[in-house]
Amino acid sequence: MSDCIIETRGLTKRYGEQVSVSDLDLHVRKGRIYGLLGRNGAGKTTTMKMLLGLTAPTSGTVSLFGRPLKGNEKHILPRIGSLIESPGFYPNLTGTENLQIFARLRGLQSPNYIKGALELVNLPYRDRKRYAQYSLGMKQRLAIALAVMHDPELLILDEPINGLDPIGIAEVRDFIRALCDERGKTILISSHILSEIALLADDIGIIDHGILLEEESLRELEAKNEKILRFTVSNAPVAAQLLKGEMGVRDVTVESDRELTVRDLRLDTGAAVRRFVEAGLVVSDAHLYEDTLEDYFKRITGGEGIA
Amino acid sequence: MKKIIQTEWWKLRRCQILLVGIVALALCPVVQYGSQLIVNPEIRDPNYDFIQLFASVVWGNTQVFLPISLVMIGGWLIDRENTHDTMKNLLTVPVSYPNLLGGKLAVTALLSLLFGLYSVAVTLLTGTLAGLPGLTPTVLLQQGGQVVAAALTTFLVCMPVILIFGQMRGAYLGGSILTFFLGYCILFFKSGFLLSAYPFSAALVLAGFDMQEYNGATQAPSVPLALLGMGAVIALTAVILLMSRPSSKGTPVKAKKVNGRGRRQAGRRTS
Repeated sequence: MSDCIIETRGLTKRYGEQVSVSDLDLHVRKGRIYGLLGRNGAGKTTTMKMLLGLTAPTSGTVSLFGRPLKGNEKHILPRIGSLIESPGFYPNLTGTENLQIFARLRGLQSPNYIKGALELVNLPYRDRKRYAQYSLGMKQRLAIALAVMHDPELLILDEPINGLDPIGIAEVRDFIRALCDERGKTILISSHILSEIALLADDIGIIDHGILLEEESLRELEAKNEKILRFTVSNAPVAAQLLKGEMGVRDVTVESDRELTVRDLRLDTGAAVRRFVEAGLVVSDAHLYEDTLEDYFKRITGGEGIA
Repeated sequence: MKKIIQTEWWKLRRCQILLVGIVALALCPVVQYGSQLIVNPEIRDPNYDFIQLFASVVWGNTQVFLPISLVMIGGWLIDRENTHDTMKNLLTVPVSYPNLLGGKLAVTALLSLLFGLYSVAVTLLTGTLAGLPGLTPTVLLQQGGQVVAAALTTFLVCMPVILIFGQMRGAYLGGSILTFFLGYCILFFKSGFLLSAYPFSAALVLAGFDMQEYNGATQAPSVPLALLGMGAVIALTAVILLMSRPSSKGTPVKAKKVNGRGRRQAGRRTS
């Protein structure tokens, strides 16, 4: 994939005998939100640390913006904003003072960078409250402000909604979406919360026990998801005969006296219900069931739910 | 490098660990003058004046108070980046790890200069309150200058310990205690090579301090040997700096919850 901002090949990290990440081939395309989904301890954070050069891979390569990370850190890292694990700041300083330190190190002269970043995450500029007195949600917001302050092209966010309240989660979600849609940022976001990834990501990678099991766009994933049409009628065997005999539907299963399922989704549901009624059957329910991302996750990770 | 030093300085705002140096260096002239008062009247020096007070402050600072303070503060400056989990933010700027450590040493050097000046002020105050004679502008300039010079040379000696113990998680206090013992060892080298080349002795020799009255040196120190000793310390510091790599453990040291340990709890809240 030529438009990849992040590309890894055979990325592996071992800690002694323990394999944390194994032979990972990750592809994050430009201008898209990539959701890295996995349980706690699946290898998400280790992967992100290797992408940022914070942990050296045991083997494999990391390419960012089309260049290998190793040896190009000075050119590549300033183009990235990141939040890895928990927020880390100096507790004796205020939020603004903390950002001033990193703004100075990044060579950002104007205070507008800090002001703008704090406004984006709804934190006050030049507040006198020290970081040590911040709530968990405020700390997380400050970490996001730090990640976006220098207007990076790529954001690597490890569990960015941790510690946020429901309103905060929605705000951060909208904010991340807007960064991608309106400002063309590429975003790699990890989470163990399936619903968040489903709401936010364009592409999804599922990692389990350090192995990347799937990497697809959400649309492809939805297309692969199993869909079932289920009817509840007064006589399921008769309804099944009608579908097979008169409407040419093949994949019909009678589940019970009153229930049948159809896996052939070319069926016109309205026409089927009309035919059942004409045949004197009482139709109580007709429902399309679709696999959720969680069902899919369970299926490909071997049935275990997410932690 | 300028940016790193500037931001390291900003990070010191509201840091209570600086009180270690402030209190220790305030204690030094008081302890030195107090020890003069508590000795038997027959061996007490009736001509004890500002020159002697300043000299005993140089000795006390170099042997005990400055090594403890500088290693504790310098080590903590390094250790805090792991404890507060800020190292990842610095490394992804990116800030080079040896440069970061160098910046921390530079700030500690600046602190040692300020501690030296502060020590001069506290010594002046103590001597004035005690009514000691012999304060002239020349004495203030010469003796005060020696206090400041000794503070800087003592810092140079402490650099390797700061780097080693600062990078060992939570070990800066141990480094501070070790440096206290190393400083105390000046007493044992009264002649020969180590009289001048032992780093803490070299710090005093290079500051122009006469140790004879304090450690009973039996021969005059050699400045070239002192320079050799100090050169070895600086070379060792450079090697440590170049060989240092950030810890890949990643997770911060979690402060243990210990009831009734005010120091730890205060540190966790504010430092």
